[in-house]
Amino acid sequence: MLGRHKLYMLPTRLGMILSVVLFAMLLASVNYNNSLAFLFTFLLSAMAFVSMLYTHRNLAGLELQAGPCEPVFAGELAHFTVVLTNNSALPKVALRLHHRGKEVVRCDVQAGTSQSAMVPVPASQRGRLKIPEMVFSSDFPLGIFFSWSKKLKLDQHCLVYPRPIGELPFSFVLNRQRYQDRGTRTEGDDFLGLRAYRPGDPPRHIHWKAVARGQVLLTKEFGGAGQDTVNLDWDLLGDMDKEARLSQLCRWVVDAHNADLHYSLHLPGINLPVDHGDTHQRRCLNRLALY
Amino acid sequence: MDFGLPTLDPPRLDHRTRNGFLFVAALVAGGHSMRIPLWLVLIVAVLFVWHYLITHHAWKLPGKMTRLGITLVLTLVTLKYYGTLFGRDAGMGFLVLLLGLKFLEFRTTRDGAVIIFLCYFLMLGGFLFDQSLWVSVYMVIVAWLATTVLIQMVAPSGQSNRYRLKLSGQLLISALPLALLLFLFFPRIQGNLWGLPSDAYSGLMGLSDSMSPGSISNLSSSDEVAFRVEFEGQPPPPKQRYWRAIVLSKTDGKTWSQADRGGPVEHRFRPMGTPVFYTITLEPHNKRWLFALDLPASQPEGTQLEPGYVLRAKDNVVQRYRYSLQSYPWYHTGKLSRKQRELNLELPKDFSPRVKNLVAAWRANNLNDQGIIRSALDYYRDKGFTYTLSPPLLRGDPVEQFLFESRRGYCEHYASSFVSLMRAAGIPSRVVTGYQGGEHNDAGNYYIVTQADAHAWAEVWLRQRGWVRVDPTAVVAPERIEYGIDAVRRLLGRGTLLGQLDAPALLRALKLNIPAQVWRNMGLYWDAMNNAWHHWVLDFNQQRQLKLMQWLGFRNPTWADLAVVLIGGFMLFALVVTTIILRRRQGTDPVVKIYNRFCKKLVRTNIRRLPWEGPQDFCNRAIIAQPGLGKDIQSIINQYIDIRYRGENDKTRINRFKKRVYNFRID
Repeated sequence: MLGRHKLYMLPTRLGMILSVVLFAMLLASVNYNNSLAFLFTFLLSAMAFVSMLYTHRNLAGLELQAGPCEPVFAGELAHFTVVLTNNSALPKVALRLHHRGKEVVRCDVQAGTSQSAMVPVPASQRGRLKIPEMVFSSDFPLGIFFSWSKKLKLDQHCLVYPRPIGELPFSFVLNRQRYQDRGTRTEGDDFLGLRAYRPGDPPRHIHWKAVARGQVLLTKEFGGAGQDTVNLDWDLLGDMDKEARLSQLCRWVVDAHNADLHYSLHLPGINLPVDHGDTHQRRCLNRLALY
Repeated sequence: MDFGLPTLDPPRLDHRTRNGFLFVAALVAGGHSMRIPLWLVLIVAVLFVWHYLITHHAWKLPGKMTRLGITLVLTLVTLKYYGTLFGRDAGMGFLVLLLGLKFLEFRTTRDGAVIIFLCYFLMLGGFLFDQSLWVSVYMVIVAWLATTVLIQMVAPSGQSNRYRLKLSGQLLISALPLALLLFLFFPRIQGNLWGLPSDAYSGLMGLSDSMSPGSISNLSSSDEVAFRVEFEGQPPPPKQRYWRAIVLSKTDGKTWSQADRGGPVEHRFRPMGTPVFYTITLEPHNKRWLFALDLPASQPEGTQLEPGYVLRAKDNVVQRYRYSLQSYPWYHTGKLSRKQRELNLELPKDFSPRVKNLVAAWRANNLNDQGIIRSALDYYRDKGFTYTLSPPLLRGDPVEQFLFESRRGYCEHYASSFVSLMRAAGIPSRVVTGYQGGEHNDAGNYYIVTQADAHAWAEVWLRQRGWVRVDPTAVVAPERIEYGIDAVRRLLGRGTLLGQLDAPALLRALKLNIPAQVWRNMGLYWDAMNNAWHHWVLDFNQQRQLKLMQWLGFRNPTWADLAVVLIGGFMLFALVVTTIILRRRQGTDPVVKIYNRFCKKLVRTNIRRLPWEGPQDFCNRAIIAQPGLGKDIQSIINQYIDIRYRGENDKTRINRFKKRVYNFRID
């Protein structure tokens, strides 16, 4: 909420020019001792003064909220959603949203409505990217005064996954995994165990007998027939530094997901068992982002 | 301290905004078009059209060198025409040119603002020429439109024209109290800063300080107002409404002029009867003389009485000047000094013997001075003299020519020939010029005296009575005195001979038809409004400011007192206007209120609208979450979108939407 105490105001360059013009008008009025010229000069000066209040009113009472932000990979642009809410009965006109002194959005917000705007911010580092401090401004109505808010801190951040790069090709993990697999399993349709039902599981894998007994929904897990299971393991990348390892793992998660593989992720202290799907990927990437 | 001051990218100027600029600039330049030469009007019009072609037909903006060349050439041409670029006339002409030239380099919003500010200045320039009510109304409208265009430039999209017009109107109106405060209490410096250019008061008209009957064949028929008079109590009858201004005692036989200054001031006289009180509002004529009914008995502050019982201002009257006087229509001026007697008997050395013989014949009849006067007036009445506004030019001795040959003329001819006759008879006499008559304005209860009412009459000095006014024109054209110059013009226009009709016939002849009467009354009402405008607004000056301060209780107001009133008033204004403008306006749009109510109803089904969610997104989400209510949700939100975003916001739709939301139930 932009309260009264949070707004600053200065005359713009146009305001300076107008003040010079008004002074010249005053001199002409005095020189010709012309009443109407005096009145006209005073009318315009008073209007310039009153326009300050209109400029202030245009920003006062505007609410700013941050909306959700889709996670991005480092090196991409994070698009924060900010919502401008105008609870007053007057439109807020010619608003500008800036961050770091640069104008990012320009919009009007009609009376009693909200307007959402995307604020693109480059995400350079993995982790949590805080929404930048925002500044609102407007020189409405006459362009001679310019009002802006103090830097507004919003409680919202964007999750930034590590940059998905790595020199080791995906086949590196895949091959090793195949090799290991050969020792432990031969059949692809082996029953591995039971786990809690998750939406999207195929109905034929549901443990119907348990349902009949009145238990919760359980899903039978099988070793994928014709599917490859990969272990994405921190320890595989022994000779790399932390960020490079995370980037490499991130790359593999993306590749494994795109290839619709079942994969597990192992970080020191964190073990995400073999699984697949969007939820699994998101969980893995979250771990990588915040590790 | 870091305030986080952001930088601004200027908004782009679209075609519609540029059209607004052209429109306002054309209105402003058009207001000046009567005062600047035609070629300049055409050049500026061409520059406007050029800009239009640049924006709408993708013509190229002229290059820097081209612009510089055009600017230089046109500036030089203007300089050559006016001889200067400063002062009122040349300055405004030059600024109109600059306004046109600015459109050739009109790219950014700063150029746009400069155009509007230039327009503001040119509007002020218009007031230096004309302060009438009509011009003021025009200028206020143009200032309103100019401010609207400025708003449009700052906020080019998103709001309607109506909104912008309303907003700029609000701005102007909320500025009005402060403007009035400044108008009343801002210290008025009398006089000027850099010396008035010589053209400041050009074009003011009025009487001339000498007269040469016969040299001009047409009397002024201008309806321009000379002055307005308000009488306290009963106004004097027409035949006493002689407004004296100039006394002409010297003549070379052709031209009559004022006596040299320094003569004894004859300002004392013995008033008789009751005085007339009145207030005159004089239009500026750039001369010193003031007008007074015969004979003024008081002397307003800042004026002086000069020989001939005429009133003079200290300086040339360059502003409307209002003064109150008291005059006695009946008076006795007493003795005449020797010097005065000599002055008022003087005739040119080669004075016409024929005229001398005529007077000698009257004297031979043993007549006294009054008898001579009567004979002279009879001479005008009986010898076929006619009153005309376009008399023939007189060659040779104009007095002799007029008295014996042409016998056609207007007041100047009669007054000058009559004074010549009197002087030839040894009666001290002189010509007085000023105005005679005046039309009553019912709307404002005052009399208007126009330039056409200019008149010349004679004064003779008689031992028993002192100076006595004699108007020989009244003998030939009594209608001129009784009904005024306008009636005379109408009668002459119809070919009626003056002095022939009796009163009822005259009144019939002078009766206006209804359209003419309506027209005349409208003119009088307009004049009354203009007069009030002048009185209350335009004539506010240092003296009136002083009086206002005294009325407020400052006995000897200084600039410091003015500052106190200004600052106090300003703070009061700021307090009131801030409260009004910044008051919380939570009165949300009723449509939004209804929508919010609908959203609240949905909360019960665990669908909560997120603050950043637009209606369409919310609708999609809600339908997935509550497929059972999908049809209702879809229809209500679609209605909301139509009303709010498609502008289909008529009453019936809003009511239907309201009903729909109220009837929406979650079971």
